[in-house]
Amino acid sequence: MFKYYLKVAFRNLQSNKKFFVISIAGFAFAISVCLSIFLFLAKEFSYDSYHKDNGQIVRLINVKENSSLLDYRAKDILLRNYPEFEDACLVQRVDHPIAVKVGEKGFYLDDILSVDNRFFEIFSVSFETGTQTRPFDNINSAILTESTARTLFGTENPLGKDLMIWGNVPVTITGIIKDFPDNSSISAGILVNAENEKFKFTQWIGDSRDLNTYQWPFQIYFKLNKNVNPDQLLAKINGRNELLKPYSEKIGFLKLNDIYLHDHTTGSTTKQGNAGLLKILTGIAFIILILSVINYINLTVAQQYKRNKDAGVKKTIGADRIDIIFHFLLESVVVTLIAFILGFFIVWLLLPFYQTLFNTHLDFNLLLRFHWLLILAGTILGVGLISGSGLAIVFSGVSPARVITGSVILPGKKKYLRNALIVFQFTISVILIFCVIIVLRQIQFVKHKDAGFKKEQLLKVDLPEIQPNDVQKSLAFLGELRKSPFIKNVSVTSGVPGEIRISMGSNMENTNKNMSVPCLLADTAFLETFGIKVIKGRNPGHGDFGKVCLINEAAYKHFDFENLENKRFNNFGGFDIIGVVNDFQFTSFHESIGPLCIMFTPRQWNTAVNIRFSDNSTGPGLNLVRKTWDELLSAYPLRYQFYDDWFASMYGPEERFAKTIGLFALLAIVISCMGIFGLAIFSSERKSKEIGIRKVNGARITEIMVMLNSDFVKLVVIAFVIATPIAWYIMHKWLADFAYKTELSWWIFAVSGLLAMAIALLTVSWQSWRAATRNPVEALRYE
Amino acid sequence: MISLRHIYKYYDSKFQRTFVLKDIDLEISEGEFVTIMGPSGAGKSTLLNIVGMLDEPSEGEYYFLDQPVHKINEKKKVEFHRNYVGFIFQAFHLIDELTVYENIETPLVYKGMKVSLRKSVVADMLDRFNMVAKKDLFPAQLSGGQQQLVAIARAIAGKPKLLLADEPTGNLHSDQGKQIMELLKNLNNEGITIIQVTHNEEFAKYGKRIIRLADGMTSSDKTT
Repeated sequence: MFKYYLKVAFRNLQSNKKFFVISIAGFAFAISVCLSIFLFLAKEFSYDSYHKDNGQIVRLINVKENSSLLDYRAKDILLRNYPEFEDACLVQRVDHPIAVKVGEKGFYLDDILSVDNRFFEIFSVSFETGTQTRPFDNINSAILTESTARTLFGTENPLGKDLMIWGNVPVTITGIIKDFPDNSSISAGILVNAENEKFKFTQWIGDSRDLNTYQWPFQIYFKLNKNVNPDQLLAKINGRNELLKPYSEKIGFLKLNDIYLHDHTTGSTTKQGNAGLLKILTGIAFIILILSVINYINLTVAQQYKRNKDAGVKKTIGADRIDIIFHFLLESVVVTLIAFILGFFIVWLLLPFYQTLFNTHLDFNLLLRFHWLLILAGTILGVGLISGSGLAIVFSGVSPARVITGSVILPGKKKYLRNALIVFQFTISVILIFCVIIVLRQIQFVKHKDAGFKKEQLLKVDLPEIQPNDVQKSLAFLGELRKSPFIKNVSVTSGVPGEIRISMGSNMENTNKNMSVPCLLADTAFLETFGIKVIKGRNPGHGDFGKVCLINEAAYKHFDFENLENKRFNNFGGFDIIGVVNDFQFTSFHESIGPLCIMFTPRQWNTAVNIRFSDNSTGPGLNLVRKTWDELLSAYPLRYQFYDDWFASMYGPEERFAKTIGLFALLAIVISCMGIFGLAIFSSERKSKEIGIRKVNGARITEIMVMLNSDFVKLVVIAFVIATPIAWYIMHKWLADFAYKTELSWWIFAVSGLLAMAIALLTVSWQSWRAATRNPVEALRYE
Repeated sequence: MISLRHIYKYYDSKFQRTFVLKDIDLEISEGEFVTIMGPSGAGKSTLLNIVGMLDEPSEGEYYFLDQPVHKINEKKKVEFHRNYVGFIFQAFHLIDELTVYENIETPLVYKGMKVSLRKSVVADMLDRFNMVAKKDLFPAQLSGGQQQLVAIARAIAGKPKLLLADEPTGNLHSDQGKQIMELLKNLNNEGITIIQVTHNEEFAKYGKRIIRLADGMTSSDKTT
């Protein structure tokens, strides 16, 4: 009996190939999107779960500053005083390029991790070679991951080998660990000993003259003893807050399992996920699935003339309502099952594409694990049953007498439901179109917003620490560049717009608004090279070197200055403020431009050479830079980037977001179009007699088309009205993350609506045209 | 076998009641071959649908095999359809996606018949109607007459006591029509009660009893 039902289901699908293909395709793409989103979610939620004791590990946070950074001495104070802590370790990660030298060869590593010996106990780190009990023998020990070891040493055994970090800190390799898993928030290619003061990467200086104000902040991880209640422990610690002074007034814990997705503190340098994106994606997965269900229902309802007849006939030959329901359920389950298999296949096929889209490695095999397969199959079965039962309810109630006597009245009752479904689909489409336009415009907006300095034809060359005996060579390198006709200006700086790593307390007199100000250390060619203007005060001259600084407009405003007389930045030896420069962009446009100080000072820790090329000379100029570097500084790795490219790349996540929702918008629109296409067929079928009569009485094709299309136009207009406030709200929230935002102009709404309308009309008109041009005799013959 | 008492069928619209059937009284015994005739809109098909339990009367009592149809539930009606009543239609109403064989098989499936038994019943039917060679064809591949043959085979496969035919020859030319009528006559001779609706005077005469309807009422009831 079941076999018979199955046969009927397949025959039905076969005989309606057009509908079959459209509904399966709709479902299959929807399912592939859902599966890929599922893979992404599974990946994102698996972060740090591989650590054996992940439930017991927390990170210390400074509640008042909402920061993940605390001075390293806080660790021992807490460990000594509270037996609830089983263990603790220091972690600090730097994720900008690290220059490393092996013998005479230079490399750049992407990241470096400064940790102590306890790190290897608290976290699940697997050693390839070396010892786990005390991996760092001394403060100059370093540990490499397998892949870094391969990069730096090839097939040689790296144990016991020396390398030079930043050109001046020698370390010895004492161990090799397996690469950190993909889903580890803490990861780096090289691990160094946090006890070495060279590897205390960050330094806070309250007042450079007072050593007591110096702090070396770290991210501090604690392992709690089993059965310790973190909240109670926190209350206990914060009740005796004098212990931790001056490092923190109030501390908090961030669970290891929350760090990747739910870390809202500043100063965290571990990998960060985006919980908001996950929510949006989950929502999109559901919406797409709902759209495809609606699509399937619409497409089947569109065949209602035939479906009604079939149901009626089956009833006259002995089928009861249950039989009819069963027919529909089985058919939709078969459809979803085929779609599910296809969707699986599509995910497998498009995995590289989805990986680029989500910018992460996705583990397809996860889908093949038994329990997930079971859950997914259950979900699909559920989707099939939901779609099928909707149809079954519509059709099983059919009265056979009406159907079979030929006087079939296609019921108009369910029209509202169908229309509501179409409106829903187009509401989603309009919202998605609107969001895509806004996101794209915002990206264009921030990319092309005046940065306050000339980003074009401006090159940044990373400068590693130069060995004392190579200083002459580096000066020769700069000299060569300055001589070249291809190059207008060369400026050597410590920190550049886009990456300023030094902040100092301003310590100004006569102001109560002192703060930690980002500081860029530069030579006197800086302003000209970047095209930054002094709008108040004067340009620095050669005699000013080491004595003066400039501030930007934002700082001038922040400190409520009215003039520059006797204004002094009292840190790091003290600098007279001699001028104010225009606000220029020194972070991405997610943040507004804050106070900045540019100090003119000789400094051995220069990080970059900035090169302004002459017009139309970037090509030969770049060649010259490469050639000269190879001649003089080949022992150091060369790494460069144009500023405009670099700043554009800061919006990578937004561009991926735009791509993602662009893709989903497209899919939603395609699926919606399938549904509306089905409805158009249904509608022209229902009205074929009316069309015939009108044509016989002299109606023109255009008039018939207007008649057929006007229904859909109404639906899209309703969808537009519903979509507008929702779209506005969503994008308003999204834009809140940007300090500089594009406008939500009315015309974008209009364009989204018109676009949806145009797509709907095109889809519908194809069918309407066919209906309108059909010979009216055909339609009227059998009536 | 069939007993209709004071059957009314009407539709209410806002201001008036439109009668399709008015006070129909009818007794039909087992083994009869009844023809219902009458002009368009006289209520012939409606009457047939009520007898076939596809439609319900607005008023009146209907006894089928001494069971009060006006009181029984949907489930019981399905039982009747499965075991006692077969239908054939002017438009044949075969299931387009199923082959000849499968169309004949369908009512047996709904009846819950075992596969082996089903096979032999369908085989008998195919044999009887000389359709063995056509068993794997789809309805669209058959002529109208052949389609109606399949429809009849499907209708009687379940061995019904009553066969209802709504203008069975309406879509056929006269030779095919005659063939179908001969077949119905034979079936009747085998003991199946038949009620047919037709416009065709010649085919009407195959019936042993002719009932004429006009405006929803019986205008004559003659045994030939």
